Amino acid sequence: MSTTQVQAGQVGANKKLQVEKRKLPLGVRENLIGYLFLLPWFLGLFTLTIGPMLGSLYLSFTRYDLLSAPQWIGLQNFIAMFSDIRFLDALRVTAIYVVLSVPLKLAVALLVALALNKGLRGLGIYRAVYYVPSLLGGSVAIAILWRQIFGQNGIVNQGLALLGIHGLSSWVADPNTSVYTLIILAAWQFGSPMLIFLAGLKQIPGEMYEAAGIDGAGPFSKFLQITLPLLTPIIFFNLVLQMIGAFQAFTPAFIVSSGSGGPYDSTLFYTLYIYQQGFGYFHMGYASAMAWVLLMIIALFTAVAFTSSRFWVFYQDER
Amino acid sequence: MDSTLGRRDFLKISAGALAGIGTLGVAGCGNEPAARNGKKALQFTFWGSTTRATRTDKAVQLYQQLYPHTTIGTQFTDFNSYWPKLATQISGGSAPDLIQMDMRFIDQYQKKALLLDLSRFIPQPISLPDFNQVLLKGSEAEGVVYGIPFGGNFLGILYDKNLLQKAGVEMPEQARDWTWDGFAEYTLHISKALGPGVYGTEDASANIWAIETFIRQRGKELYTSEGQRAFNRQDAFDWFAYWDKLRKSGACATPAVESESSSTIPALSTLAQRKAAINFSPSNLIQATQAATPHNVGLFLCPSTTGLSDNGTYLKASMLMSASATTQYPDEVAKFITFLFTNNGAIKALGIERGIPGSARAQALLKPSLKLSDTIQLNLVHLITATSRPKLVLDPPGAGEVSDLLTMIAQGLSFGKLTAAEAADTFVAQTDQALERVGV
Repeated sequence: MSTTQVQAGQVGANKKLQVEKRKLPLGVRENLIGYLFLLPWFLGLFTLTIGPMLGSLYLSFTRYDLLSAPQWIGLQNFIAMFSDIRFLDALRVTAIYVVLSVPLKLAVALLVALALNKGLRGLGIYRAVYYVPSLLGGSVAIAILWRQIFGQNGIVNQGLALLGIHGLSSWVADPNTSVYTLIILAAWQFGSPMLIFLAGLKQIPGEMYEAAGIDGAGPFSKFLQITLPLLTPIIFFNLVLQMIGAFQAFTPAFIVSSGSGGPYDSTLFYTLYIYQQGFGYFHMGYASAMAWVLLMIIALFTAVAFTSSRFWVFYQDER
Repeated sequence: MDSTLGRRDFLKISAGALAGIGTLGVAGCGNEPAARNGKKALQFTFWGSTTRATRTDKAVQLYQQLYPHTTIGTQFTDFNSYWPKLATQISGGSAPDLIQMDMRFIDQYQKKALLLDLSRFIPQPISLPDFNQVLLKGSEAEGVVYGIPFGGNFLGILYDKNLLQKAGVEMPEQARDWTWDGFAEYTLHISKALGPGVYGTEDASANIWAIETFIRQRGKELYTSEGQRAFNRQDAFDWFAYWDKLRKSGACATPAVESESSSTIPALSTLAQRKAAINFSPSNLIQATQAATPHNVGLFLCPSTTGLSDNGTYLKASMLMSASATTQYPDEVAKFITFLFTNNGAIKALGIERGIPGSARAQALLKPSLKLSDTIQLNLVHLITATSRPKLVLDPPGAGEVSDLLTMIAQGLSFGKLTAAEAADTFVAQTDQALERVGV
């Protein structure tokens, strides 16, 4: 092929492309514009999220201490986890935390939402007040407050002393009870699921309750027969969000245990151990491997939740 | 430079991906040496309090007055954030010129050739003829000086004189009368004399420096020079069993008392809270501990194994003045280090805040301003320098993790979750694993 031929071919192709562009259907063109507007977000997604994720995936197969180049060691990091007792502690503690804190938090959130849905005067104020713990919950101040409440001479023990129960030790400093104080802390931060429940409750048509009332249903059966089934999509949504959040909980344990996860690893949340390995001991490779294992665990639990949702989540438009 | 850039990328990547704590990645950028107008700009980074920063800045200003063509920028942070930050700066290719180092990290850093060999500046310009040689020797790595010790430190016991008086006991006169068996009886007596809630001693089973001293009394070390475990299961078992005995007899504080206190923050120690008459502590914490309690605090040596003259205690650099191997101004760095350790103004500006200086001249210069507690410490430093077996093995990179493992396992034992035998097995196995994980 001679050069002129090639050029001619290209020109032809260009023309063809231009024609095609003009002929782009409206939908596609609108989508293109949409993606253009999303570009800044995509930039963030790829450079700040997906890029670093791939980087950490690579690091999870290496030995890397920040000070010298990573060394490829294959699956060694993943194998080492199984004989690392502190890793197993972290798994156990996190499992207890997720399994207990998520249902407890959702139950509290639903109860408060039901109470606030009674058409109170000044609802806005109550809503704001009950939301406050969620804003404060991740803060250092609250974690320190928690130490005070559940400490040896804290409010809880002083209250129990009034009831004649004396000589109790600190709840935070006892490996048998410390994680439960963090679960109570999580439940206290019921604000955001509560708001979502409240929005869900408002969407349940009043006629249904009226009709049920005429049929002689009491408040309890109204709740079980109407409120709960119609709320299942919201419960499902909250469940998934809170579960993912609970797996990644970090701050409360970090502050309450001064970063140690103690006593006796009883508050060693998974992410806290990742932090210790990565930034405390400079085992960035091992920490990255653990981060990926956590991602897989969360993905698994989320998948289970979605699969199970078919059997218990009821959408109103389904017939 | 390619590999440096690569490393920086990895850092950003990993920092960003890990649990959303990723603001560190950008920290390594910036601070170009501004050598254009003939001025040499050095960076000096250290950990510590604002008190330390004020003192350091004063010394730096004195230096800049003497050498107007050099500017020294200082940055400081707390100990725990210091190390990730420093590692980030180094992997980002912008290592500070002057680096405050800790003995725990000397080995790791020098193995990666990150620290400037200071031996070639000794004795000129860094002239240290009157420096404590045991201290200097103990901070060398493979015969090379990578950092000049700011001060010497040892593991001693702090005791509450008022509580001992109340219990009607005195400290032994001679260190050789001070055995672990004697210590157990002694502290039990104090516990009984002082009644419930106050104990003879804290529970030191979780203290890595205390177990190290205990193992050194057997003529061994915690680690080999190859960075492997040098103690055996029996050593660990004896240690855990000893403290288990004290716990059961009531001689040492209960786990509930222990976990309500802190061994690293003097004001929260069992001694300052007057819950224990004796604490195992780095000697330089005497001042801060004394400041936290109205009682009088004394300092003495650790108990030793019966009939042993070597009581395992050794002098350790509290912190070191090191420099980056990649600094553009090695001569300026040496000049500044010389200034810090030999200039009267600088010595006075720094005081003993970083530890009692190793040079005899500096000690003499500071003597008029020393408090009683400092003088006690200084005298014991001289005693240890003269009698102790220096530690010539550096802590391997995994030492930090081993220290945390000891704390965790000792807590398990004290709360009754493990037996002494299980604690020993676990400690040995997990120590090996932690040291293995690092490789090098």
